[in-house]
Amino acid sequence: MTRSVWGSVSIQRVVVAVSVAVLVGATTNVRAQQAATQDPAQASAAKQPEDPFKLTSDQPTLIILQVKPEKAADFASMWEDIKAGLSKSQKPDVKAFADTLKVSRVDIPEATMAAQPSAPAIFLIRCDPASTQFSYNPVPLIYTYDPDVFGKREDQDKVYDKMKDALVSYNIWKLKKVIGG
Amino acid sequence: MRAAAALLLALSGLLSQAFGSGGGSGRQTPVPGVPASSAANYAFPSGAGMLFFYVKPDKTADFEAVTARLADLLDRTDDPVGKQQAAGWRVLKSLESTQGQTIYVFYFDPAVAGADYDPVKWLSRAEAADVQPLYAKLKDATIRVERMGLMRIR
Repeated sequence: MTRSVWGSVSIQRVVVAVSVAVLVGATTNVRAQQAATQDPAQASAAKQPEDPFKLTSDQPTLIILQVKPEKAADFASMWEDIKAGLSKSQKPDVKAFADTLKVSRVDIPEATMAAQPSAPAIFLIRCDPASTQFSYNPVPLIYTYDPDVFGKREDQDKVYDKMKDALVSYNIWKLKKVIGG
Repeated sequence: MRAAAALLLALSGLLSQAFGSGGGSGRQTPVPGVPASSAANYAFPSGAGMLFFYVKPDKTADFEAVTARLADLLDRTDDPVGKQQAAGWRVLKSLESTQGQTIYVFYFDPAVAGADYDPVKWLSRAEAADVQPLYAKLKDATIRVERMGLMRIR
């Protein structure tokens, strides 16, 4: 696939659909993969799942991501790449968003992890205030808003590949600010 | 979007999963003001962290009055370390109650390594006559506190 084709709106929509489905769960993922193999025109005409990581309110929100333990290092590295890449953007709004992107990993003691080696690693995205302009979904973050900051298409794919099959589940927790910032 | 109850249940699972052996992140900490509390329960050497305060639903006004006073003390501190703590200190409230509890999240990001984030120690900086009523309100409102250390992804 050439970059110009990749850059078309219809293809981007397919990519977003796949990413959301990956995050939502296996059943949806199968459907999305089928959609991704369709003709792009058909795919763009098909109903796309809503992106749960595109928040509709700026109220403080915690996005809780449970990740396969063996994928945790790659998943963390992907977020480092996303943050570093978007921080280099020449687009002021993208750069400003990158500056607010706060991703953390829950610090679970080694002894606990050793006792439960299959327990998922937990990552949190603190959206405070939450962006309603940008999704917190890695795929549009990599491929849509300013993909050139990640290099060529294959470089973008290398970033994306770090999250492949990593996510176990997610939760979105709406909060209200009481004090601070 | 999933039901909020499921979200909170998942978070609770996340915490209990981290309890396990070895202490550290995700462990339950004493209710502030109880003598057994130690600085280690309220420190975040990993550079960020959270405290979850489970509050009686009928005591949220009291709890928020205490946090308002805490915010005032944080705003007015002249202590350089305290100013750094204040800059990264947020208090957030869950929009939904779960199992008869209202959850408040004290979020420290960045957390000052080695600093003590025990809110009671901050409240002790209030005027002497106010301290005991603040303690009493906080203690009465709080069911339990849980701690979670975080490692920031740069």
